[in-house]
Formats: sequence, C-alpha cells, structure tokens
Amino acid sequence: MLKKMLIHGLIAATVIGGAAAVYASGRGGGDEMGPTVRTDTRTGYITDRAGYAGGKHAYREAKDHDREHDRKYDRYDRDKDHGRKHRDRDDD
Amino acid sequence: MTPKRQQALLLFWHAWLGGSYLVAYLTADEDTYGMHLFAGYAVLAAIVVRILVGLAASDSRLLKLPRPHLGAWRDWFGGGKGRHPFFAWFAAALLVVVGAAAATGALSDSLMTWLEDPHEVVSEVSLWIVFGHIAFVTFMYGGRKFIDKHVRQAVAKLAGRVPFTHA
Repeated sequence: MLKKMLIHGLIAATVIGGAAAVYASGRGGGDEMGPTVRTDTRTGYITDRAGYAGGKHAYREAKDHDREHDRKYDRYDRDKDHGRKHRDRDDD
Repeated sequence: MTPKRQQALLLFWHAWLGGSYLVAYLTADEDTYGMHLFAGYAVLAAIVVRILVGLAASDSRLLKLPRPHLGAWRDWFGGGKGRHPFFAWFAAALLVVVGAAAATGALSDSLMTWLEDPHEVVSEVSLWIVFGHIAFVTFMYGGRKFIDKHVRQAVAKLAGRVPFTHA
C-alpha cells in the first residue's frame, strides 16, 4: 500500500512538474523573460522588462523594480526632461 | 459511490496533493518561480477540492473531513479501540498547515507581497509535519514489525543468547 502510494505520488509529481515546466516556459520562465513592453499611463513612459535575462533577476524582482521605479519617479510628474532621461530601463 | 471507488478517489487526491507539494517545494527559488507558482496553485486547488468533497460527503467514512478529538486518545490507550488518533490529527494538521502555506503563497503573489516571508515560514513548518506524517504512516504500516524484529534480534545478540555472525 505504501509503495503504491509512493509510486502514485512520484508519477503525480512528474506529471505536475511537466505541466508546470510547460506553463513556466510559455509564461517566460524565471530568468528567461522575453522583452515585454508596456506603457505606463500615469507617466507616459514606455517601460520594458528586458535586460533581466540571466543571473538571479527574475519575474518577481522585475515587478518590484517597476513598482519602486514608478514610486520614485512619480513625484516628477511628467517632467519632460526627466522622462527623456529615464525612458530607457535602468539596469541597477 | 462504493467504498472501493471512494478509496481510489482518495488515493488519486493524495497523489495530486503530494506530487504538487513536492514540485512546489523543489521549485521554491527565483529561477523556477513560474513552476513554483503553478505547483502552488495545484496544491491550493487540491486542498479546496478536499474540503468541498469532505463537506459534501460528510457521511462517508473515507471521504469525510478528519475530526480529531481528545476522546480518541482515551479509547486508544484505554482499550486499543478504533484507529490510532494520530491519523486524524496528522490529517487535520496537514490540511490546515499545507492549506495555509498555499493560501499565503497565492496571496503574496497577487495582493499582499508582504506575505512572502510568512509564506516561507509556514511552508518550512509544513515540511516537518509532512515528515512526521510519513514517519508515522511508515511505522504503522510495517515499520512496527520491522523495528520489533530487528530490536529483538539486537537485544538477543547483546544478551549473548545469539552469537554474532559476520554477514
């Protein structure tokens, strides 16, 4: 009984792991995200998530970085010079 | 539904939960975040389905939700009646803790990112409860005989009744 349950669990893990891998690769994976461009309607910036390929930068860090970036530069409020300066993604 | 079908359903569900949990734990890293997310939602779905089925089939011996109670200890240690109480306690603990781990993970991904650290803590705790569950079930379904046999042999050898033999 225990052996049967162990085998069932491993089979399930294989199936779910495979499905998860397909989902992740379709989504863009962790560190292999393709360039995704979006327009920030508040500031008019066009931002993208490219530049995070490789290394430890992954989806979550990209999301957090965007949030922090928006927070930091929101107060400049459509300053054209500032917008031009920061239009390209900062790789910091 | 016949008891055999209910047991098959329960085994299927157990494999679904166990397999998803294993994948989720092994992919809990930034580099495999997408896989971790998928597996985590599979765990959450398994927990939700179990609770719904348990509530719907509350009169089924196999499918009803575990209801641990202190009286079961008295019955077990008093006269050896019924099932070992740890079965129900472990089942309930796992549903709660694994469910909490999955729920905090889902919330931290979407609405409350501050739940990331609590999610990690709850997940680590759930792993130890899983280990305890595996150890207990292994002991109850064969481990007892194995340990009994080998402990008796070791004690007999130490007492000098059986000579040591080189394997």
